[in-house]
Amino acid sequence: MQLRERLARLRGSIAADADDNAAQNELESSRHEADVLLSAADRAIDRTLSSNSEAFLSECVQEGGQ
Amino acid sequence: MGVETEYAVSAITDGFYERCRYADRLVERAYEQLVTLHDLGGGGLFLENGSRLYVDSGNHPELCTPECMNPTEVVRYLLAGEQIMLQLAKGSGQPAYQVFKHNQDYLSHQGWGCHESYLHRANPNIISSDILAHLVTRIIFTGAGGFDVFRRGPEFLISPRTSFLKRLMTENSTGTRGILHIKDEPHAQYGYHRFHLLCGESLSSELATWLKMATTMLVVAMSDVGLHPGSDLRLSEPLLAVGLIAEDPTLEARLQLVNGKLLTALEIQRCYLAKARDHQRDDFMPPWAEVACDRWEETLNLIEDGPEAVATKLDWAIKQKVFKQHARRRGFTADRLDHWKVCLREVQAALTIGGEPPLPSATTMLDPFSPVGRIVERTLRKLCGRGFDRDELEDVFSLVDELREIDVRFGELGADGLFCQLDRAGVLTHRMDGVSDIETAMTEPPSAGRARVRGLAIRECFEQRGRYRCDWQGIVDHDKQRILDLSDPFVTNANWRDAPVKGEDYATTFADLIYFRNGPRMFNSAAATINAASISEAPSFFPQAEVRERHD
Repeated sequence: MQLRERLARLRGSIAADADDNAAQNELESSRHEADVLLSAADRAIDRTLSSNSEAFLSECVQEGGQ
Repeated sequence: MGVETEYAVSAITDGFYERCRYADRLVERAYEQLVTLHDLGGGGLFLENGSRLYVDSGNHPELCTPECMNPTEVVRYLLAGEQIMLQLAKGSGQPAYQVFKHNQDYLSHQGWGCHESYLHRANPNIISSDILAHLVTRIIFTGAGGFDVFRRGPEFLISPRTSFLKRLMTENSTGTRGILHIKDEPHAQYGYHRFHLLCGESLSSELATWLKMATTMLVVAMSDVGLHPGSDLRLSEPLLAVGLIAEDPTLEARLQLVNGKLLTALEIQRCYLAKARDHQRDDFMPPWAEVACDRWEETLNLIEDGPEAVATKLDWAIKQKVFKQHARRRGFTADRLDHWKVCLREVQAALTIGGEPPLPSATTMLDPFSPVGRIVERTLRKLCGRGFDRDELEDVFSLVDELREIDVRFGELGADGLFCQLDRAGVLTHRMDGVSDIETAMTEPPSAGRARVRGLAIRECFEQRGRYRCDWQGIVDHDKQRILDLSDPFVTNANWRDAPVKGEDYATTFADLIYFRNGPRMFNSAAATINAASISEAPSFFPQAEVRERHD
């Protein structure tokens, strides 16, 4: 194989690896964001949820709109 | 463009929620605490930031943003409206209220609307046909997320509003709702139309609201100049399609087009986007079109990667993530929940009487001595052989109610609301550039358009507000027999002029006042029939609540 061709392939491979790495990083970052979201949501729900959701739903917003 | 938001209100007194005239009380507080003018119908108020607050049919407060020139302004005034509602709810009076920006009531099966208005000039029928596929498919980023109110099981929908849509189009806004609302009520002079939509939902994500307004305005703008952006995107069964998309958070559902093609919602959105891209710098497009196309494209690209990719950005995806997590914490895997969905569908079918499935409470369904409970028992016994554990039912109902409460709490205004708590924790990425200084927007009208003239005039007239009545199209000064005509949406100055006189009977109606100049099509609201005499006889405006405009 010509040197130039091998070099081009190598460059392509490096670029593909870089793309893979970027995608992987993005995925991990997205997973991390989602995990943080879930922890925050757990805490918020524990603070907020009433002891009787059925009662909350029936007494809270039953006046309907359109 | 602008948005009307219907709010749900509750009051807490001694630890109990009490129903009374919450909505009226909130509007009374606004009258006492804010710079306002009475509206024409006598049951609502126009505020100094150009918005309108009133009690809507269904007895809930509704706040309309002022007319805005861009989606950033819409989001800003929506947030300002929420702060106004909070201020009124937590105001000095008793009791203190909780206000919810919510879309459906799980027990009464009513919905709260979030209506949109877009100014245009073309024939409304043309706009309708061009935009239909957009309205059906935009729910992939405008969906509020939640559960089907007509099902007892945990049936997640990207857009719960879709379960209320029973027709393609309707003139009615309070009964059978359609994807398209065809009532032509322009609230502006001859030559303008208002494209009014009932199919949207109240959202918490700034990005989702921004995109809802921006993308829809771009499609309206293209249609307005005759580009027909939806001509090759006509859906065979739009109602069926919107239901399919709503039920499918994987967004893989393919929709049948009239031309025989099968496209996903995402692909249809990409077609609309491509057309907007082609014209983003054309003169007829708004100056923010290019930015809108950028945000639109970025969001579609993310959605293509799946719900996880937008789980910190869009309402439905945030909620779906939170719901799944909560179910897991209660010991329910996604598979188990799917099993119970099927089971509860069969139970509900067994309870169906006359074609309309009744939705009894969990307590009633779990009572083995009630007629309903006996049907439930019988159905469940049949299903036990298919892997359903009867003893789990109580836990399922409990979980469903908790998930529904989480949904309602998500849209609760103020620091206790779940969305607000998540936002404060810094785990969401929904903010839009330029949506800032909300406090100023609570009292300052938008920077341009008739809303600005209206807002400044309201402030000027406030000291003697008993003599004025306000409407979207103008302000009447009864004492001086003059009007401020705001029927031109782009009016820049407050030019008061003498009201026309019809013999002895000065200004029979407000419509008469501006009819003389603008012709019969300009003001067709049946609501504007209060006459000048009743205005002058009304020192206090709340006793007139019974003549309140039945606005939608």
